[in-house]
Amino acid sequence: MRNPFREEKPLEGMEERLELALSAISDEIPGDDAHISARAQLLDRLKPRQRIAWTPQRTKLAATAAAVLAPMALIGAAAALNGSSGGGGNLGIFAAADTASPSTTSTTTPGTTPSETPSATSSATGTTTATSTPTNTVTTTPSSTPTAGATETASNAAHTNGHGCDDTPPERPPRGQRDTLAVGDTDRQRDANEHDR
Amino acid sequence: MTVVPGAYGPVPRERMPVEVAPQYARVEDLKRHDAAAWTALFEEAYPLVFRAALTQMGERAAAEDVAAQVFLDAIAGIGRYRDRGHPVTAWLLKITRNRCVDRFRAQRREAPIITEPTVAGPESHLAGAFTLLAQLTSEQRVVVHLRFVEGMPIEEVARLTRRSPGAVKALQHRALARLRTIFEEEEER
Repeated sequence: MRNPFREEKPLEGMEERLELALSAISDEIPGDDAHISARAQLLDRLKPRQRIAWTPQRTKLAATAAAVLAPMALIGAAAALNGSSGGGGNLGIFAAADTASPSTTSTTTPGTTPSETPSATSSATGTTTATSTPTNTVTTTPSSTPTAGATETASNAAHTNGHGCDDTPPERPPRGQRDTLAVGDTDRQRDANEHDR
Repeated sequence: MTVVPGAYGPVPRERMPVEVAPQYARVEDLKRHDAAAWTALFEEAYPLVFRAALTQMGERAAAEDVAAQVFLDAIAGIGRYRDRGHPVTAWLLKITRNRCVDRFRAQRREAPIITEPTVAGPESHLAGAFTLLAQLTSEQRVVVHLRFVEGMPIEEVARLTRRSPGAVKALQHRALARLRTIFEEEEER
């Protein structure tokens, strides 16, 4: 705040005087060596960063990605721990589903290779024709299932073709049309008042 | 990229050629770490940054170090730079002052230590200027440098220091009042 009782001397002529006093600095320029060195440092610093410009948008994206991926990684690690300890974690459920699913497939699609699953192998022995649900009825009879020898051959072929079981093409059933399924009773069964079971 | 003299510096936009792109386009070039854009900025602003550092430090070697460091810091921090209409040079001058203050803090002092040359000549003239500047605060030195070393008008200094013209005038007035006592002491001798 300006003090009204203080006498202010005018600053006239001070600007020119100061300009004259500082004129030595006005003429100063950086040395050539320093100039070249500084430019070389600048270009050197630019080289590895030319491909990656760290903009605020990229910073936000990286932070968001970290925020999303970190919990997922934690969940994955926890699930892996549960699965390895044999507890009732999600991984255990998935494992159970993995073991159960092939048998279901084999009962609903008898045209597939019998050697794919243990249940299919048991059907190869001619014991029964499995059905997963009452509505899913397999039209093929037990006699239409391949023999044990054929099962072994197909199994060996499936495992020796270098592609594993999943890559084995389905075989045509010995009789009837391929992959013909009738849901429920057939017309003949209905007329004769018969049922599969 | 066309390098236009004065595009980064304190040249007012109305004096620029029509073909000069707006500043934000150039800032985008800098953010992409475009070597041509950075080289153009360096060639144009390096002498100004050097003299700003020289005004603050009062030592040529230290000023050259600071000036080189300023551009490296600018490359590192360009991603955080937000264009608010100020020249990029204003940002460089801000970095320059901060680096000088950092050096002073490291040496536990606030102003350059001036050693008077024994022989009269250009060096003694330069040392006399540094002696004057050492009496000022860091902010006053910035204003004095731009006003009386670079010869910029008040409005341009206000743009480069991101202050109002009134604030620049006040800083200049305080600096001149401080220096007047030194001139009077010299006259009495």
